[in-house]
Amino acid sequence: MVIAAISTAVQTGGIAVIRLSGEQSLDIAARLFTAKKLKDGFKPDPGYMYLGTIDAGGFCDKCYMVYFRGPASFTGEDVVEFHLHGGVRLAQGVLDACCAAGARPAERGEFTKRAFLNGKLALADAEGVIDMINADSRAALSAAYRLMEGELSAKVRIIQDLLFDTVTGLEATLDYPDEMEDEQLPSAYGRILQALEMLEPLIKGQSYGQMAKYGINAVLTGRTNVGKSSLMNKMLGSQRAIVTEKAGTTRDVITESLEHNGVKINLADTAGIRESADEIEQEGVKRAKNALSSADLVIFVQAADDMGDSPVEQCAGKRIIKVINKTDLVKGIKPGRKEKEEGFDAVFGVSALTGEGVEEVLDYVAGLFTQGEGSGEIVTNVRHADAIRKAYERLKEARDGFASAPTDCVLVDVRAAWTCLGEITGNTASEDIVNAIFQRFCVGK
Amino acid sequence: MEKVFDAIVIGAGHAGIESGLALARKGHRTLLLTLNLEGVGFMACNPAIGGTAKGHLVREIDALGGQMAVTADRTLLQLRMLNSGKGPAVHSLRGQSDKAVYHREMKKVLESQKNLCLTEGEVTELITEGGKVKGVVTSMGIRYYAPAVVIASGVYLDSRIIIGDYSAKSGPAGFPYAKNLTGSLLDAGLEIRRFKTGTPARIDGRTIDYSVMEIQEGDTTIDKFSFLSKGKLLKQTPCYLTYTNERTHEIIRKNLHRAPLYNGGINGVGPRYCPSIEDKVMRFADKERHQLFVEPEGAHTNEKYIQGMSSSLPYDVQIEMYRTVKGLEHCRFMRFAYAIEYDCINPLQLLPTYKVKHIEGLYTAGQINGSSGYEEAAAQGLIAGINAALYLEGKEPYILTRDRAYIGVLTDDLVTKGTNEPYRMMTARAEHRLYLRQDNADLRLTEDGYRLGLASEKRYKNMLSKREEVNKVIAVAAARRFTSADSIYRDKGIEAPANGKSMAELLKRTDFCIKDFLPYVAELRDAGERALNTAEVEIKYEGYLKKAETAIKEQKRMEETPLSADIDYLGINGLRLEARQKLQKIKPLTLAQAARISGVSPADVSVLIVWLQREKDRSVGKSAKEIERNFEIPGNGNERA
Repeated sequence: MVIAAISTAVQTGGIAVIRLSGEQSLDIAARLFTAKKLKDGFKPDPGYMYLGTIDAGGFCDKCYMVYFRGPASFTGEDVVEFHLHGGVRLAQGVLDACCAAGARPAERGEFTKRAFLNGKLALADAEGVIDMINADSRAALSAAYRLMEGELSAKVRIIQDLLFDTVTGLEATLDYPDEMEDEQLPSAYGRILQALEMLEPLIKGQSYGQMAKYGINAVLTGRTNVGKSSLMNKMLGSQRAIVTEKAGTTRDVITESLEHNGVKINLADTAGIRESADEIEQEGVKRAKNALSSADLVIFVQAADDMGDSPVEQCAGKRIIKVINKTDLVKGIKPGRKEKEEGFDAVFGVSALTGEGVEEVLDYVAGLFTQGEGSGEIVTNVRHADAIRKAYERLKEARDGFASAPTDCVLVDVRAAWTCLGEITGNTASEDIVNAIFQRFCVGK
Repeated sequence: MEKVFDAIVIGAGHAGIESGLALARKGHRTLLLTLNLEGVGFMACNPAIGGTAKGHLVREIDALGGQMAVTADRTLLQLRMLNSGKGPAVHSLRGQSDKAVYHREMKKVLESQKNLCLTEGEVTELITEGGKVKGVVTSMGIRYYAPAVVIASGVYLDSRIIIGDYSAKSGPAGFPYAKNLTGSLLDAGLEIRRFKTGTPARIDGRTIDYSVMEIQEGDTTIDKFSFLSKGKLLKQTPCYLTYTNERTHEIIRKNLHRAPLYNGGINGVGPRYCPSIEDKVMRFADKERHQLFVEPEGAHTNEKYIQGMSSSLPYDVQIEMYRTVKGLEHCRFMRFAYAIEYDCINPLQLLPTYKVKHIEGLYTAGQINGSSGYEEAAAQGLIAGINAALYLEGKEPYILTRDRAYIGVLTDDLVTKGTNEPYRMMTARAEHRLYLRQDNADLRLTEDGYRLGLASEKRYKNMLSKREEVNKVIAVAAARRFTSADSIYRDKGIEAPANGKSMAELLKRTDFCIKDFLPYVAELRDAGERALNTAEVEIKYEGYLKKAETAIKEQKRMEETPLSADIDYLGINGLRLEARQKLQKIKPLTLAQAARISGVSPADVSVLIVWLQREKDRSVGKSAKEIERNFEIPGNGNERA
């Protein structure tokens, strides 16, 4: 079955591309497209642009057609692309015409799926492409791009190789006890520690990866009437939250996203924390506390003219910054980054009224992600994160069992860790271990 | 003269013996043909049974009711438990065996077996008709008929021995070889390959100076191979350890141009795990010395087997290099080391029952399948014999899976992955090795052996009572607590834990073993030693065994997804070409087996899962859309974890 889709964004742009994939792609193209160079039979050379006319039933237009012969194509199947003039209705018209000629509309990610099924992409690469399609911020896009380029695979492969050496060394001593002197065992412990150390940034990279993909969850908290909602509106650049002079205006949790420096930030404004007899307000406080527990970052807001309170216990163990609002009211407290205080990762002064200092807070929040980005170790995919976490756990068990458990038991964990990582690199063949034993060690009668 | 049988087994080596006995014991009139009656159960290479992973195979053969362990126990000169410090999964029993006695004892077993006709004769032709085997023809023209034939030809198919520039058509140790059978196998559509293996020299023990070698004594406290054998081996013969040195290596390097392995005189593919000494010296040039073991060939001969020194160099080089070794300075050769080339088949043409896929009633077992080793051969012989018998009885075949036995790993590796060199069993090949221990082989398999009619009533009852004892010990260990008042801590000279601990908790520590508890826990004294051993492992390594169990369960789902033999893999879109061809050739029985085929990538397996799901959905009439939904790429969930 040939699938077809508008492969460029569905909006007005310079050009629009319609892509067809499947065995009969050329047949369908032949029904719609005519070109001078193809008048002696519809046999285009792969990889060449042909200028011609496309007949979309209701209208005709000049366009380019290019043909990729499977398996030398993105999907591994025969692929045809029409490069049209930009315009939503034009592109939709050609897509409809393709479908009328025998194609069916592709589902989201289906080209990638076909590429994967045809062995054109490793699972990790395929996931990278799909993440790219689904990315909704630049940071997510760059993380996905790196995944597609196999950067994660390459990193994991290094760790996998280290474990592989450990496993083969130990296995050789088990299968050839008479011939192998036991020099393998002592070095194995060091290798396990080394692998653990190498996995750590990847584990950390998971939270950065999650942040890259889904945005940073930042929750505003603090007492009532310190100006959390005003601050949120200023950060968003819109009047999203209702702001009044009255303490306790915000009852429910209000969330809204923005992109700053290419990073997606999900802001949540919550009810001010105070004891209240009002049942609705009580519920609002409860919700505020819940929101805090899933936060990547807590923004603790204080009013410059009324300081002295401290964050609620739900903030414990979280990344937390303190923002002193209403600097316009108090002389001597200036907007901008302040000296670090005990219990906070950073302290800022802002005026939600004038907007002074807000940009610096946003820079800092977006920077949280780029800390991870800088080291390049970002794991965005749930399956990869899971594999890395499992490998890490099994290696820790191997480390802990090393002193007391015999070699064959320790190997249960080391081999499991190696296999887990293979979920990312695609290399899980245990035959390789046996082969390596003979390559590396002189064993045998 | 009787010429019609229920089954014919070709070859009375380690594979043929188990096949013949299994068939006869299951009540089928069986003809066991051998090239030479003096070669029955002959140990052509080292005088030892067992070793890493091989010891496991011997115990499994025994648990199923096979013969190897029982006979080995009657011929032991020495017994050792390898790897005793490296964990319960890799404890491996190895026994030095008296070759001549092993042959004599095996011959006696075969001769006294009801329904079994041990006969000398060289098979030169296989009679097949309409895709079915009908019988065999011998070199004398005798035609024997049977609906089931097991070929266990060992290294005797068109074999040639090579010593330097001398070579001769011969079986091992001067035994005759099978001249014409290969042609008949080719005619039957079998793919023939040529493998090579080798054996070291046999040296006159009286010319060896043992005083400069390290002595290697056996262990008189361990159990023998068979679960039926009682008592320990109290009188043992030692082996000796010595090393090659730089002078040895120099002689080898100097004469390398005379080594057939290097000058093109040998074409067969040799095993990497059994390298000749010239191979070792060339491939591991930085190694200063290689270990050599001096093993007795028997109690009534002076022949000594020099393990580690197999070679195909000319005889004069052999003498020169052997004599550089410490303790062998004045050694006299009784037999020279030689390499041997032989024909074998491609095991990818077999089902896991050892039946040749395209010929009804034809089975192959042992070295003809590309394996090496007495134990690997015997294991295959047993399973092939069982399945030939089940075929005659019109019953379901018997297949051991990888999670149940080393035999299952061996079988699956051979018929799924194939092999490009003589295949040797290794513990590293068994992914569920912690569960596949030699101490629990009876608990794993004797029930099967009993149901198949091979394991005796006695064996079965032994197993049942051992199982009961093991369970009882485990229960007692969980229940019995040792408080700080108990004398066990004082007696062992260790500090008593504050709140006391159960026996099971204590046993998990490295400073306790099960025998420590015997004086304090009366119930333990009812259990046999074997039961205590198994219970100790189960308790001590409970955490790891649970992990192994989880891994087995995870694999089960793929293991239980059947693949029909009718699937046309060449027509499945999306499979890479190599995967299509491999799958079409091997026709795996399950999805798990498909995934283990080399050249079938994880992506190919995904395609296969998708295809299976689509076929299934199609047959129940789901819409295209629903079908598509079933194969979303795994793990592409957008929910935040």
